[in-house]
Amino acid sequence: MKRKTLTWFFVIPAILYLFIINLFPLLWALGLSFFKYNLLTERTPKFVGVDNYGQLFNDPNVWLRMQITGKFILISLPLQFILGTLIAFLLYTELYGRRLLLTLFLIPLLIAPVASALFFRFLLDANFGLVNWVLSELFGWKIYWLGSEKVPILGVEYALLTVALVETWIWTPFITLMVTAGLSTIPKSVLEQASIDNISLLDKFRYIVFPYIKPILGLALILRAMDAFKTFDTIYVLTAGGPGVSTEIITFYIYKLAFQGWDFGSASALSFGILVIILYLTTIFLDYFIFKGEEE
Amino acid sequence: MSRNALFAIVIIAILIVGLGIWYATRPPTPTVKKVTLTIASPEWTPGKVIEQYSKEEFTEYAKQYGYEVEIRFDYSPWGTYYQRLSSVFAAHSSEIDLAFSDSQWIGEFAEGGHIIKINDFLDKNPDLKKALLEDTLENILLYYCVYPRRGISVDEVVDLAKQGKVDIWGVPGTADSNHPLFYRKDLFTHPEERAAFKAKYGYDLPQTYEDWKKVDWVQVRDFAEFFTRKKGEKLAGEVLEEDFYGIVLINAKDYDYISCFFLDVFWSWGAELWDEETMTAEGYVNSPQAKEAARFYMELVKYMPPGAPSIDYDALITTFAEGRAAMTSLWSSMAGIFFDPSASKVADKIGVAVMPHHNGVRYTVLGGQPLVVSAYSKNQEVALLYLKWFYSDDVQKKLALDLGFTARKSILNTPEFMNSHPWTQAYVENAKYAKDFWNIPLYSKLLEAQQEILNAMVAGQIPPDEAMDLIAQRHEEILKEAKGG
Repeated sequence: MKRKTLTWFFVIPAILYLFIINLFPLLWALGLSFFKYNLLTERTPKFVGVDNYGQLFNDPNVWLRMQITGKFILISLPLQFILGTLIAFLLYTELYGRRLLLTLFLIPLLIAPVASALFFRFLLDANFGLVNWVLSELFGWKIYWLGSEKVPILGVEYALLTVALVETWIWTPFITLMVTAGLSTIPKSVLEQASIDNISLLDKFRYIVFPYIKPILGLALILRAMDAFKTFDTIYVLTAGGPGVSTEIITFYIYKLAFQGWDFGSASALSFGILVIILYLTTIFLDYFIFKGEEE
Repeated sequence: MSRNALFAIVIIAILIVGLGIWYATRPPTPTVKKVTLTIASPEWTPGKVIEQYSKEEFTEYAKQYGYEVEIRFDYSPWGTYYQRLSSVFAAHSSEIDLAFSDSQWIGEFAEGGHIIKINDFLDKNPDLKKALLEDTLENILLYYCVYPRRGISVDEVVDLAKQGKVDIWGVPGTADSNHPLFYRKDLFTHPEERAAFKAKYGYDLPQTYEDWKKVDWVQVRDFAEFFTRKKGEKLAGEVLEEDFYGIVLINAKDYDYISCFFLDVFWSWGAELWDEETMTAEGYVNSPQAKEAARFYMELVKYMPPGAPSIDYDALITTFAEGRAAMTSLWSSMAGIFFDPSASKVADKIGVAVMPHHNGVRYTVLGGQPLVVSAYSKNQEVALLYLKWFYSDDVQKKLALDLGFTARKSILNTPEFMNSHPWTQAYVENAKYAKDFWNIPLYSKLLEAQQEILNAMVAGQIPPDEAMDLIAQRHEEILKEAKGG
């Protein structure tokens, strides 16, 4: 057998697997997005062309959910990156028990998001939650964490902030882990030289540390941004999207379209719309954090 | 051939023929068929009670018919039960043989061909037919078992069913058909509180069951306002260590939670969700009565615990059982915990009343589930047998006494049932006022829009009048789709 044929022999099962598991459902969903189809009542699927896309584009409900998704990402992602990076720097120093601390910091990542959300739901309950009990005992006031009152300065509902904070609690360790991996690639000699040369802390970060961790931060940003778009379990357990639609991000809306309204055509169309947005954002992030560095 | 040989041949021939005749005419050997019957149910006490009883009794019953049955209950939490059941049906899966379906799902499941019509089965089983058509509360028969129900009134459903003019899809499964009002008897009968209330509002707090039957929702607001107290204030002669609330009702967005409590008020104001004949929501769900009811509901919200938009069943039960609210309303199936001293601080202080009226109009949202047979079941014969067993007199009586609710008229008014649970008297009275919402295939979309908007209204994001207009607008769009527009 020729080497090329042999290569194909080994590659084809993987390609077939990829096609069956990934591509086929994707293409099927794409096809579905051109039909009006209710799975449960099983009226004959009706071909509607790009109507589903057009309707969604003009649907204020979709734009409202996009705004909520934007707010949610803009709160949770920076918090995760700032906290995750700070913790990683803290653990990078010669701190006693840093290995134990790193393990402890990773615990939220090891717990299923559904369990974490449930745990916070009880903790943050307006009337019987531990957090409000402590606040009430110490300061004489409570916060309705899952309510619709606006957070001062931020201007978003407490419920949305709470969901973002819980997501931050779950995912900050991931950033810590990534940044720790990035920091471990910096040669000790470079940092020692910088200390000998009396370079300021800010310059040390700007010219030495950041270039080393930039690609891995970029990768973390891509992964987390994609994941943030797909957040579902935390919201489902904490607020079910409420109050009203205050915490209903776009994936939650897709879920409702598909599994409450059984409108698979619109749900598929919206999913593809989101896929395009995520691909676009990924390309920008890749360009900035990874490829731009390579060109330089 | 010798005579002896000929004789032997004749004897052998006679024996062979005799054996053949015996074999052909022998009574058939009973063959036992092994069947596993899977029943989908929400994860709750009634499901567990029915499972236990089915395992004990139905397995024996089925043996008479040549079946060795293993019963398996497929549980899902209420919040995801609809998704579980509809996914199984959408996949045409045979993993479920029977299901406790919520009444509103019947249209969707029937139209999709996911459940079987039982009219023929009823004709072949006169006892079951009699029990269903003559001994079942008419509103439960209509709302649980009949689809389409357009144009059929509660009063005429039995006659039409007897004439074979309606399609019947199941029997009442868990007839938890209404939710009574629970109140703190100790507070409402406390002399100081009574005197203070009379001084402030000019009339007496209700004391007896009969007093409560006369209570208007508007008075409920007065009671709620009166009993809402801050930490440090006095209630029934004692200083409160925590805030105390007038009323706690469910307002959460999940599934049908808020609708089930808001609609008690809404319908009692004489409002309607839609015109079922013309499938129109505009002018009904946002009628002046509907808006007034919504505004009134928001009055009640003022006297509920903080975080009202997220009050779900857990929060309601905890608040009331912890002795933090004066009144609540809850399905009979879940109310047992209120009277359990190991779980409730107020177990011996609770009174139960019929749902309030408004200007003489009284409604309570219909709860409960019919039991239906999956069209994809590979054990339909046994599933139908289970239906017949389940709705038989003895089984229904046993379950009614255990659970505290039933759809059977012959059980409802018996002293045995009336004395079985603290809420049964109110349950029986309420049952006739139970009313269901839509059961058309697009029900889940209608519900979802309503839940979302009502929850936002309770959260103060949308004013009540605007909320009802928004519901009308969203429902019109959905109903247009239902009409094929």
